[in-house]
Amino acid sequence: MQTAVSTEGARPISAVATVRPEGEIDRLIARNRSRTAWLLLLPALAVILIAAVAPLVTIVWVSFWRLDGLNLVRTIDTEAWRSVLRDPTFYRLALSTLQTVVIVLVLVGVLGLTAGYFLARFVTNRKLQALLLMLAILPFWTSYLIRIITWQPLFGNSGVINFILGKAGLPQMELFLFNQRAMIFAMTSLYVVFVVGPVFWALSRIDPEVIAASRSLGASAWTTFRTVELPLARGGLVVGLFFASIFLFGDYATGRLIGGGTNPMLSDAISQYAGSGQWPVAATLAVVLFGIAILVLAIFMRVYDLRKEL
Amino acid sequence: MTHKHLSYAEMMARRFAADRAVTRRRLLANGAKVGAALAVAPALGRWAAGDASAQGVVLREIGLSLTEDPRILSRFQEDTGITMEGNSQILGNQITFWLQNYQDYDVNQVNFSQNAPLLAQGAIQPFPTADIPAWNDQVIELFRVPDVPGYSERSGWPLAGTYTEEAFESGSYDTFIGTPTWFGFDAFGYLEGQAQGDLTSYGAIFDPANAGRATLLNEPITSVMKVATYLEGTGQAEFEGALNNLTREDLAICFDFLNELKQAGQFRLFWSDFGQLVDLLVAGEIWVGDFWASACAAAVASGAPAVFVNDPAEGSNGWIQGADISAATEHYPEVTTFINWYLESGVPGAILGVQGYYSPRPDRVEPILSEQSTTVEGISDWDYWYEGAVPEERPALSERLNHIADWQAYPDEFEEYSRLWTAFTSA
Repeated sequence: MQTAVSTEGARPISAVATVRPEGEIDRLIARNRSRTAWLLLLPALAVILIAAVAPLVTIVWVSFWRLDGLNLVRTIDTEAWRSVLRDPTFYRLALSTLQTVVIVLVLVGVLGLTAGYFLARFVTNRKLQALLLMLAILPFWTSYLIRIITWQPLFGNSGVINFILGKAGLPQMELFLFNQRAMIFAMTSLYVVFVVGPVFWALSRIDPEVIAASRSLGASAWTTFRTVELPLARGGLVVGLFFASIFLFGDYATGRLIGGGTNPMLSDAISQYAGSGQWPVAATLAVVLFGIAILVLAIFMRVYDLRKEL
Repeated sequence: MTHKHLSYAEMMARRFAADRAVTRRRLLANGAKVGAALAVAPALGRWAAGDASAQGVVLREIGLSLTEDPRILSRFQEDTGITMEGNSQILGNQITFWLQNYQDYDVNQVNFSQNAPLLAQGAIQPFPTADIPAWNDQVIELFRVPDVPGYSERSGWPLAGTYTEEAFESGSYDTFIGTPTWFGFDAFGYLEGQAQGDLTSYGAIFDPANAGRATLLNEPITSVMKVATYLEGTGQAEFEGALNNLTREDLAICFDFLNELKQAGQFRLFWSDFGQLVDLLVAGEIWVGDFWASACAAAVASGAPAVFVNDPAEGSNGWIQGADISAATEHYPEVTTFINWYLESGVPGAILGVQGYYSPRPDRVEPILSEQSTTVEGISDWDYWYEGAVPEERPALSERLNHIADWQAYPDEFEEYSRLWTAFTSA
């Protein structure tokens, strides 16, 4: 009965086949799909075009404008580039920016890896695991400024740490406020969370049997970590560092508030130059910073192909 | 003789009461005016007449939080029926913000040291002084004629900063770049009991005795000017340019001095905003620097022994805050009404007056401040803030005008200032 109903209602396949050659339907569907696929892509493309490509092109364009006295001349001129490229200050800024970013990335990498490893391997209680992870992420629910401002009562001259040191009869310190050390330390604490999460997820995804196999074959915990877990967690680590570096390159407030403005980053110089209306130099520095950021991200991609994660 | 300063809470309570009293008196006065408005409208100026066509117009301005005080803006609306929407900006953002957004705004209340690029890039428009009736013979001489106390022969300021180049050079003083609405004097401050050395000179900032505890504002125009004021005032250098418009050679001298100090660890940090400065003072992180008077006052209110040095040995650095008119405004008549009201009503002058700043029309501020005593017990605010009733704390305006080294201005060599400053802070 069922067969009868179905053949009655539908057009016999053979009838279609007589009109359309074999495989034509599949091709039609595929073509329609690719048309729809393009349509689906359009909004995203439009957003990327408006929000990323256009501003970037504009910035590059502005870097070729000229300040004629106080007048901004919209032209093609290499003056801003020449003044940036022949001034040792900017090389120093670029170098110290790169240095700061690399140091902070190494620190957040190491700290994030150990914290993520601890969470994934040593905390067996699922609820506790979730709670600890939440605690790591919690500071991110407060405003950036508040987190930075709390630094002072903690690390300041008359802050908590010096108070405790004083009570304990130890010499007071000025380690963690208004110098490069302080800036790096603050940035590390701000951005380590980007690494803890992804590393934790990557490590949790490793099949326990793989680790058990490694151990039962005689590998030490260290060898297992180095040869089995670390390579498998590399994706999480790189994703975390990737995001941390995006924030790091743009962070100028930490340098001002914790670094005391004595160790500026390129981003700080950009903000200063733009703030005083010197757009061409600001734009040139922005292009340079963008170049450095792309370089660092390219290195990440060499270490680990992020596309594998998608 | 010691003076009893009011506690912070008492000061605030009295200021609140004084504001209400002003409102009440003005309401009564305005009520009487309504009847006479038709007859005397031209004489009183547009603000008093309550111009019917201006009712309901909405203006927009940017300025410091001090100028965008809701008490000022709401009184303006009460008086004229025109609404002014204020948008507070921090000093360092104002040039950029205005250049990007002046099409959407009518007034820029700005430090006149920022005027030059705004004018050059066509974002503000010059306007006749005749459009501001309150700009008359009652305006303090400083802003009307050269060669009076406070006038800088070398730079031509404050006149050169107030009027267009043509109006300044011809001596006609009839076209504004912007109208000065309030002004004051920058110097330096310190924490009592901490800062060492001669605390009457800017030299305290550069004294090795305060190494690692000194600071400067992270901004080239004002900071470099203070260094130059110190170096010239103490005879260590003689500059070719005016203190507010140094030449490249002058700048080299200033930055040699600064770089050497920085290498020796003189500066703890470079501060960048009011709130941060107050926190740093209260926490005792810094002892001496180019503090703002208002930040010292705020630090004192929070219990820090901060002292502002009104008139350092080398002279103060004057500054003008005023109203620039947007090149794109569609409400020019209402904008001039606003600027006129700012001077004529005395209201902003009184509110800013007890925070330490001066109005170009002190005669309009006096009636309000004479009626209130919100700072020192038994002394009227007018006598304290303008007349020097407690000279060791707050000298009279007339006295302070004799101690101005020069006025903050946008220097011709700004790019060089900026480049050297970046090199200095990042070294």
